[in-house]
Amino acid sequence: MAQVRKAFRLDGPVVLGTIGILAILAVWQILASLGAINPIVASSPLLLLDQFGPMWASGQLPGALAASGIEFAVALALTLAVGGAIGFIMYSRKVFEFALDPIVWFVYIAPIVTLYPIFIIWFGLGRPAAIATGFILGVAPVAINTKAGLESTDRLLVRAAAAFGASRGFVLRHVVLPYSVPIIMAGVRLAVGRVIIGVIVGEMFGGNQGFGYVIAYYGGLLRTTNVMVAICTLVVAGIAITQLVRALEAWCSRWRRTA
Amino acid sequence: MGRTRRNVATAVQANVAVKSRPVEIERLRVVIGVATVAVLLGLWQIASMLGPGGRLTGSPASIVRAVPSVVGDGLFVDGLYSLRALGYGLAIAISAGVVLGVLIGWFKTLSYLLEPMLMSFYITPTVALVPLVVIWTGVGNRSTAVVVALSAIFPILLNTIAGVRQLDPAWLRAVQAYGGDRLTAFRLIALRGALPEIVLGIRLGVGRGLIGVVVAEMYASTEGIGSLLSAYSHAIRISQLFVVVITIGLVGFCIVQVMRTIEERVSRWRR
Repeated sequence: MAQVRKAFRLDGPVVLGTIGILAILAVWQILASLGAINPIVASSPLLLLDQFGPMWASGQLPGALAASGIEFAVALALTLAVGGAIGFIMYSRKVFEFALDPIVWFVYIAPIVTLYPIFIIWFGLGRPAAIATGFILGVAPVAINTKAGLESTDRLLVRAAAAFGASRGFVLRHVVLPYSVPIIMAGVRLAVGRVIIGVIVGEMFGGNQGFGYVIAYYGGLLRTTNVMVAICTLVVAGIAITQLVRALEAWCSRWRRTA
Repeated sequence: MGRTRRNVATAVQANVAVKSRPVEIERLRVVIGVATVAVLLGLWQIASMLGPGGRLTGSPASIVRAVPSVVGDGLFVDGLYSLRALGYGLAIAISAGVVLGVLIGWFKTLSYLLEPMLMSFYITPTVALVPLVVIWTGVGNRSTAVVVALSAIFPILLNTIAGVRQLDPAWLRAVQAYGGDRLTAFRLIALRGALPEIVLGIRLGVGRGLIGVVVAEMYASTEGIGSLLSAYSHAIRISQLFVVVITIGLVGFCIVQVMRTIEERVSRWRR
């Protein structure tokens, strides 16, 4: 409670943060109104508000949310399933770790987004290419962090559980997995950001729907305001997803607090 | 962000642990790793020779054969052009990111003022900003450099902030106790103490900047490695495409390795 009150103090993060954002918006609007910056090129907060209504009502933004959302969800599900499996395989046997390590790190470090033209040729334009690009970007951090997380488990706890007669499966489910949640979830959070980037890139270059397509479409028409409205909507959706992952993370490690 | 850093720290620790293990296991790791890659390449080659879709998948042999033609199409010329944009963009990102990061990390009020805005920018996928940047700065090297700067600045900024925040307040008191003024304290502690995090941020930024170069040039450019990529993809020349992608990967790998070495050097005093 004291912490909440502190956050809302006059010189606390909430008040000052709001002031910061409002100040920037105000300066931007004033510059645009005075004609110091060209509103056609630089837009303005009021223009954004003005365009948001029509773009939402015409179904463009809800459509983009739905299309990108589905692609994101599918890509993320694939990322988590495949990345988690690879991480677990690498954790289970040293041979697999040695075999998969160079490949996973290559996929992680190489600017793999550049492969997207190949995905378009292989999977076709539109949805599949966006999903594939999102997947290939997100899968490595999940694999790496799943392995690192599982390995981070306190050996003493595992030995203690084994000493009390726990089976391998029981130890994995009730000791190793809960213990490795923070590191695994850090990987998930990294992956969420990268999957979003992959989906947007896929849509920008080879899509016919979704935020990437809307942004590239209006960008091609040099309509700054519409581009910004789409970006802002995307950012709000991104913040919502990030908060959701945070909440999930807190829920997964709630046992730590009681300990 | 804190989590990410701890995560990096775990990875570093894991590396150290591996190094202290017996040499034999280390050799086994290399042998198995190389063998797997070789087997995969072999399978790819065989599959492309047996299957009908060889033109659409390329093969290790066809990729090697494609190297001269890609060099002839200007791999090095375009590569240097892109590297220049990368350099400009990184210079902007590093100078702005470090200065802002030290200030935000040092002054609490400033961090409260700017943090929500920075976080929403951080969440924005930089690629979504590419069309805007092109509208503002035009097609060419300048817009590529700006995209690089936008891509690279956030890891640098956030890591610098984190690095300044984790400084031990006792150091500041020590500098003051020995008669140092605020400026000396700032220089000695904020800049030098946070250097490992700053370099880590730059390394992460370089990786993102590289992606920024390619995406920006693919979206709108007639020169550079990204435009080479999109030319090959429109012509469906898969082997040539792979040559370019692999080249970018190798360059990125080299840059990241150099950064790692620097990182180890500047954080040695901590251990």
